[in-house]
Amino acid sequence: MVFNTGIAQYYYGTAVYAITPGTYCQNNTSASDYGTCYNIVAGQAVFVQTDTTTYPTGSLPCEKNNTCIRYTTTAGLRTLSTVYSYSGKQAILQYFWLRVHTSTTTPFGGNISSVGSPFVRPDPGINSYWFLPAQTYEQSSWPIYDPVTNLKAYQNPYTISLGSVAIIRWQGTLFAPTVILQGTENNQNNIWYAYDSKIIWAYESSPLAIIPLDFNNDYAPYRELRNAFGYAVTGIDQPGWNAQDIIAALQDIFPNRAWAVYDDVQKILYLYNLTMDYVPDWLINKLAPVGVKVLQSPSDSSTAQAWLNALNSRNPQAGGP
Amino acid sequence: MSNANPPSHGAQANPPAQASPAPTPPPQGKIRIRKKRQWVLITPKSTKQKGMFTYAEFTDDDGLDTWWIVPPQG
Repeated sequence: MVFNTGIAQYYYGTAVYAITPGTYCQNNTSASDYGTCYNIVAGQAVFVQTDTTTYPTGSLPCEKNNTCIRYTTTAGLRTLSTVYSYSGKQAILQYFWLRVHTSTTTPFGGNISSVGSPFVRPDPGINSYWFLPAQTYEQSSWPIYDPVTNLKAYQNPYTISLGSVAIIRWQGTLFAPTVILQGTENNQNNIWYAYDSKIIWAYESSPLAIIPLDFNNDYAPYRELRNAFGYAVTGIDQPGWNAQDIIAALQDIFPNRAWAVYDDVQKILYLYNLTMDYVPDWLINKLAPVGVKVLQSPSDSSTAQAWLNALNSRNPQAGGP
Repeated sequence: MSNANPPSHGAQANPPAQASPAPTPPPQGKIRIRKKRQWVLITPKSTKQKGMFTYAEFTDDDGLDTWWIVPPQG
């Protein structure tokens, strides 16, 4: 059986190509720069502040200059992103790297994930200690290295002006058809965190639906799509059983968007509302299609450009700007 | 980047003669592609380098605008 590799990268304030980013936000309510985020490398940090009377939505400096995503409700566990969700297709989580800058002094506690940090988790129903023998394992020995599970963690490998830094790296083999990135917040208010993450998994080689979707709004509500192909945040690693089924479902639901379908049997890439000009070289190199067929040319080039922009942003190819 | 298309003038650049017979170069203006396990001669509308590969554009039997990978033309 042939497998493909899926790689997702997340840049939320920090970025993997920045060695020691000084990213932090000010969450001291007495400070004159309250709500300001500094040294944002890429994307936006997360800021939780529920008091919309004192701090109306949109009033924080980081909201004004678009350097944070503000949440006005607390959460125990906040699902930040679905990395992938495959129905009827198996996938194997193989590796992740996760770095977080956070207002919490001990972002990862005894059971690895405590407060103010995202974590990579299979879904549903498996907690953060899925890779450790017990919840209290290595409770007092942070940072830890567990050679059996191949988990490595660092506390404050470098310092930032405010808050703390933690890094976790894990590699192994875990069969998980759905993996999410979830923030452990423990219902705390007035916290912030910035993070970057790289997640690698393997999945059965199959026809692919190549369309960047929003999991909650574009994908999850449509049973037709979930029956035809799986979801991945990359917009590429979305395997289905049959290329024609994928094409039929996408034509039905997204007739006005741009998308592509890769038939891994015929090695043909089908384009819809796209032309060859919009297919990036890195995607050609990844798929190596023998043929590319245009099902429908774009009547509006902005539709095709939006597809390309979204793919490029979700699949950064270079080491940084 | 070098162009994957063959030189248009038949320079004698690739000896030796002991090698297996080289495929005949396609007629002027045509490109030979490998499709459904057969060699097919097409008249390309254009060619394009994409990533590591060169593709030729033509209208396929199904009426769709199609780009097909171009192998070395011999």
